[in-house]
Amino acid sequence: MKILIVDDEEQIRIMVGEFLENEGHQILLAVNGSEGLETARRESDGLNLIILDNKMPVMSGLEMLQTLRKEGNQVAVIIVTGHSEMDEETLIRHEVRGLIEKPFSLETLKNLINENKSR
Amino acid sequence: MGPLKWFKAKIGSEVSDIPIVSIFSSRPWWLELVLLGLFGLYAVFFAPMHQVLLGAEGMFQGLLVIVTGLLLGPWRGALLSGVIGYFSGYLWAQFYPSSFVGSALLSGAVGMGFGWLGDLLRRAAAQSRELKKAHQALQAAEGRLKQTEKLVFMGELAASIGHEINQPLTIIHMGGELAIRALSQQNLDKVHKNLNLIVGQSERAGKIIHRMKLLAKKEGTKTYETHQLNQLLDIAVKLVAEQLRLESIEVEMNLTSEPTPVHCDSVQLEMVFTNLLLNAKDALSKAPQKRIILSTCHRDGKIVTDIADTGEGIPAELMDQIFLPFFTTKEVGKGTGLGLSISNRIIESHGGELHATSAPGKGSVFSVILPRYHAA
Repeated sequence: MKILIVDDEEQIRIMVGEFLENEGHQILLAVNGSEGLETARRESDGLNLIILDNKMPVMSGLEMLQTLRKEGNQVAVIIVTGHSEMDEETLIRHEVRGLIEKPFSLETLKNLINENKSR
Repeated sequence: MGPLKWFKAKIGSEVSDIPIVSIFSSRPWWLELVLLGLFGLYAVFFAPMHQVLLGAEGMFQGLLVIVTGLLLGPWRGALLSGVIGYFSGYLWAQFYPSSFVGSALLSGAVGMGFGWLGDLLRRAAAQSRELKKAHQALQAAEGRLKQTEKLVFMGELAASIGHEINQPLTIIHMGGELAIRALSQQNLDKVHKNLNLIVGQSERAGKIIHRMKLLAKKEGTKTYETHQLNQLLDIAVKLVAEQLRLESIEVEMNLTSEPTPVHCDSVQLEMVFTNLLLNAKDALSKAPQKRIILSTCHRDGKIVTDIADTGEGIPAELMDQIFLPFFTTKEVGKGTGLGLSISNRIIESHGGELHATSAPGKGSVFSVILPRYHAA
């Protein structure tokens, strides 16, 4: 799978990236919503999944997701949040595939990705 | 011997040694009765009016006249008050060489005076008790108010702290997972790297908690101490740093290099500065240029702190409402409308002033003016 990881915390980007690479995925990285949006637009066809942090400077995860959906991009998205920042309605409206709360384990993330692969 | 005579004899014998002329014994008994009747009339009809006109309350004679008049009828009331008025008058007649009615009046006046004074003292005592009670209640209420204010501010900070502390926790969690995995692969370099990461991130989490502790400390202890205002500002900026970073807000600090001693409750001042910084952050949410300029300087023996933002500014018609409790322009659930009113109260309780100036479209400046502390 080609996976885009959008997170403003460098260490999280690196660790999740390396872990998923070891699992055999192709990884792209972005430091905020704005950069993530550009990458997602550029990779519009080949991209399978975005792991999207919500709270970020410049552009939040939710803003990036709203823009993507407005542009008709239906790529699968797993949202990473600190605490219950998003209600269920927002998640359904933007067709979010999964929600993962910080702090989370790499195993949980792996399972969530595998569930999505089989869908 | 009738009771009247016995009374007269007793009092007369007790005061007869005093070398002032007693006029009582020189009058025949029937004249005494006539005077008694006259005084009774005076006591019933004129004395209460007198006392009402003077506005004196709680005076024994007036009360007695009215009560006995009401209970026994005017005639008996007059007689009884006359008897008492007479004897008090008689006593005074022993000391003052004046006529019987005159001395009775004098005794009445003195009685009135004492009654009035007693009443005044009783009232003063009651007032002082009430004041003491009110003062205690006020102190308790102030303690509760301080706690509530702190909760309001802590609530506003909690979300940001939660997010901030989740970052190192996530990394620690993942680092642990990766270290375990590397250990099973006998990759000691990777184990080492991840364990180092865990140590570093634990320290980061510890620092966040330490900053929170600065706000939560000093519960119930002596709170006024001398602090450097510049340092308090530094702590406040660190407390909201993560929120400002998430909003891509730049902070410029132009703090004076001179000492900035203030006698204050440091936790309360940190709350004020944190609140003003978070307000500036909200004002900047839609601004093209996101900048907060924090400056301190000395002016006329005071220390002035300006917190300026490059936000949308405050409309002129709202300027006189912003310090009112529960006034807010933020959407429901976002702000309590208490921040500025609480801040204003805190600064005033420190003998300072909180002012706001704003240029719509350009930004606002909130100025905190505090007295500079001079060691005695």
